[in-house]
Amino acid sequence: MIGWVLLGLFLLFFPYLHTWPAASSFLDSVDNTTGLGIGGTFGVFQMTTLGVWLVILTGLNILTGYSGQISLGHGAFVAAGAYITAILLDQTATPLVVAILAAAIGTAAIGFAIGIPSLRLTGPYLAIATLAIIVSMPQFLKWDKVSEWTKGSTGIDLPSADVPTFLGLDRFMDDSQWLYYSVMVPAVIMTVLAWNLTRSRIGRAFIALRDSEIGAQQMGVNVSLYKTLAFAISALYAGVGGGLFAYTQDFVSPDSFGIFQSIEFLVVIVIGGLASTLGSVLAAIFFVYQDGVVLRLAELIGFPERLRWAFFGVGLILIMIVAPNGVAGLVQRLKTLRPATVLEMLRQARPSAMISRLRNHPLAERLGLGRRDEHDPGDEES
Amino acid sequence: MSLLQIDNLSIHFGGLVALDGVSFEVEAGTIMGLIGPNGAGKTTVFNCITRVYHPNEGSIQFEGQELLRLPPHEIIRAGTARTFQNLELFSSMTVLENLLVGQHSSFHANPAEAAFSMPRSRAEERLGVERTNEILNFLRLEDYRDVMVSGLPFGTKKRVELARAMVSRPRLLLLDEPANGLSRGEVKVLIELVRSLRDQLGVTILLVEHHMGLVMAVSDRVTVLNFGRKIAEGTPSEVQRDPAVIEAYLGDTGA
Amino acid sequence: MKLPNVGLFRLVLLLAAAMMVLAIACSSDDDDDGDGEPTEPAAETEAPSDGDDLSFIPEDTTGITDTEILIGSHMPLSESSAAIFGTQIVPGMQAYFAYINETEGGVNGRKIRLLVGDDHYLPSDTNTVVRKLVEQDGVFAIVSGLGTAQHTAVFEYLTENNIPDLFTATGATLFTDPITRTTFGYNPNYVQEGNAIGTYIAENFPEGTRVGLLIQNDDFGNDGKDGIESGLEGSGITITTTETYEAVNSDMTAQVQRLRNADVDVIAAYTLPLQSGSLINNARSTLDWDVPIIISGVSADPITILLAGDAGQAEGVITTAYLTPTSQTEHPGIQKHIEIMAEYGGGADATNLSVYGQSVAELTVKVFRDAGQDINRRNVIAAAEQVRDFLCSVCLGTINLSPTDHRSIETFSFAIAEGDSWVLFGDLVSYESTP
Repeated sequence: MIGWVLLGLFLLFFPYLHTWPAASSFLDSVDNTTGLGIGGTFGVFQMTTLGVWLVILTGLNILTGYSGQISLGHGAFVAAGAYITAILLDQTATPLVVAILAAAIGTAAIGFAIGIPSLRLTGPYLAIATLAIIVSMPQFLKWDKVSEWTKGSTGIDLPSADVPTFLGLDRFMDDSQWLYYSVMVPAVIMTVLAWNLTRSRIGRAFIALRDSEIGAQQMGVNVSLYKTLAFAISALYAGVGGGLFAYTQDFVSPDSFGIFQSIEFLVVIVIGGLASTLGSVLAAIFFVYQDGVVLRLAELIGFPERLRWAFFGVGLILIMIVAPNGVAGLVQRLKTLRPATVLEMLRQARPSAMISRLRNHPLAERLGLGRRDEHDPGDEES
Repeated sequence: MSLLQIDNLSIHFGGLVALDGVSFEVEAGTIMGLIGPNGAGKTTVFNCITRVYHPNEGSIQFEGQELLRLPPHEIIRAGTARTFQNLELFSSMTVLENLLVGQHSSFHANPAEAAFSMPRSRAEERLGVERTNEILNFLRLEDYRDVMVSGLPFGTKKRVELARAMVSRPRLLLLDEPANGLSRGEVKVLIELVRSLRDQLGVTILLVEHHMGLVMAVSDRVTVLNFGRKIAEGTPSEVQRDPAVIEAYLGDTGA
Repeated sequence: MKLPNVGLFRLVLLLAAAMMVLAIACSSDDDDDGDGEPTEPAAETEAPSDGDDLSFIPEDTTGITDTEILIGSHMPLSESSAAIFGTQIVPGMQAYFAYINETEGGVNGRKIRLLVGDDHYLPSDTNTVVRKLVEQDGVFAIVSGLGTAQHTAVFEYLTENNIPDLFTATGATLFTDPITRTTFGYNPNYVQEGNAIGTYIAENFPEGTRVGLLIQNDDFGNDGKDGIESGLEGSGITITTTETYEAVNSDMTAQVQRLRNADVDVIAAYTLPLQSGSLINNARSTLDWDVPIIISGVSADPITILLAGDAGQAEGVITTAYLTPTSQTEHPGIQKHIEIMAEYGGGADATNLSVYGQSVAELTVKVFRDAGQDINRRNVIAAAEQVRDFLCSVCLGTINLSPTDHRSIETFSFAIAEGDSWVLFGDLVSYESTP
């Protein structure tokens, strides 16, 4: 419980830490040695973007980690949320909260709509279909019929977020601190909601679907409904995250959501930990802070920063072998780890064993790279 | 009227006739064994009852309700529950979580109630844990409650699956080869267990089984299938004497 | 493990309620603000500064020490096909700064140090790397930020904070029109270039010529189309067909076939090298079609000729150029550039893009030098607005800037594909607006 209180206090006072000389010089020295980027107003901005990605990655984890459906095009949902918010803020006098709620509902509806045809697709086919969505998204945004609202390839440039003068707030905080709280409050709420949801009958139904579709169905889980529901909830999170994205970036364009970024989403949740709220948090931390740290590492050991992804590739494979449940799983396991277990693991560390661990990883399985699904009742139906 | 009434059930996959006009009834409070050589259609009957397969013809009435009109996920809500020949446990969950999924159909909290941890959701969670504890105690699985299913020995997994089926408080329990893969000692325990489920929890049981010892020991009545047709029905001793049954089993090298 | 849901539930409700109240109150407050004041902060700072008054820019010396001028840039260096720009332009810039630092001891005794943030061509990453450069590294100015959408993401931030935003590496008009005092463009804009291409067609083809366009479906293509239309105006030559493509698509087979079916007499294209190559290859090789082709200077790179397929297929294709191509090895500026790259380029080759990098660096050095010993953010803008008749070592025309003209390069030449390189021909075309 003390841990939670400390975390809460840290999150609450973080934007003011750098104004306190002692803490500020500490944060700066951390930045100088590790390249993290937590000091100064930049540190506050980084933490703000962390909140945005946390919401988005939590949503993706519900879809992929819990219900086991792989989306390579999650950026498209984020784009939908960002655009709904940006259009409402740009062309109407909608208050921010209402705009983000509209983005949440609108994107959830899109997620539901996309979830329905996706029912016919599994594993690699679903991954490819979602990839197609993100690939075609820029074209859609530039389409004549919608470009009046989306501003085509130019994108929507919003005024930057200023701290409101209401209640004299501007005397207590600057723009960056205001932005921090406007993102962190919903981000924390969304994370707590996801935490509750995933530990409820809904979350367990998602995992059940992933582990054994027929088992789940026979236990009364409406497979189609829950698969679509996972899409909708995940899209709802992407919608909120996209709305916060539009607000913090104050600019959205068809170029804002790359294919590569969507793949990166997937990579970081595997590293952070599938089907775990802690995993989503770690994924978001990794997503935001790895850039600076890798850059610093590159300086220190002199490896070209452009090889970053080769480095990640190796790291990802190692994580999939050593910690199938990501860093979050590793953290859980450390609590119960005994020397004997480590020895046993090392003893089993033969190439064949490693490959089989890799193939048994939930993601590899879902992508059709792992062992085959044993039952497919639909096949035999007449 | 019988608890379960199967009439003229037929199903074919392409040219292969898997079931051909099978009819039988299961009386409330009894244990019915469903046997037959390999490929006789036992599991197919099962899969028709649980709506994994849709038969071409026939009807399946449970407590007067036509099961064939229900979607697969609503079969359990009608009051039936099943186990699987090849385990279908949720391997990345604990035993407790598996049994909570087993009660999925008994609870109704929607996503919003769940996310906001509203009173109904919390009440259902509490009730779910209570019922889980009860059934785990009954099946002497209480020590495994918070253990990950994937790490359990096979025999224990089978009992967990049984617990998961029972936790939804079904009136009809469908057991698909419960003795499959168990040791001689474990089968003895299983015989007692199946009896006690009926005697103490009052559940009606339909049992598909290869293991003759088990079937003959626990069944009140036995239905025998061969090549998708019913060839005999009666008490265990009647069936064992039936020439058609003897013929079917002698002809089948696998049994 | 216990479920701490009860406590969290109350906490969430409380937070949610607090947030709702706050946010609804604040957003209505925002609206009030919006009614009373101009919403664009840029406009706010611009309004009082008509004429030469730059007093709204503080005389800030962030990034300036006795020995150093620290500047930053955002470029795609990885994770995007646009990385081909960043990975060649940056060495060109770095090499020239190193050359000035070594041979002249920097500018007014201060060495120039350039930090480059890799934004992966993703606007949100541009936001992150530019904020890091400004807030954490404390750069004096941003120089040669590349990409239209990417730079748009930080444009307002830089403007609001009065950070010199020098010589953006994009031909988009939105950064220089209307004028934002702290921001200067570099590339000739696509409307001007398109106008030149349109004029060229009007002068060199008979009345009634059918022009077919192939353009990228974004601002780059649309600006180019607007320019071409304006250049053709009154000539009796019209655009009869316009084909578009998305930047992710590099195969132009279908588009070229449709242009062929539309029976056009000349093709003008606003395409990137990959698509330009496909366009030429499909016309010449697949369709055996000898139609004249004119492409935007964005594709004026040897790679386009290479991508056009077998030797000679690109022969005669026309484009525009505003810098001397590296193929002109006898040009003193190019000779010097090759020397500088060999000495300070850190192994990078001299290419047309590294030439571009050096040309921006030259202009930057010129402006910093003119700002004088007491260089600060205000006087560097003043110095930039006073650049007149500056001819960089590799430029074709002079650069003129003023308080009402923040467009750097406005003069270019036509070039024709000969062998494996582009050769300049004809007179310079100038759109210079500063007298």
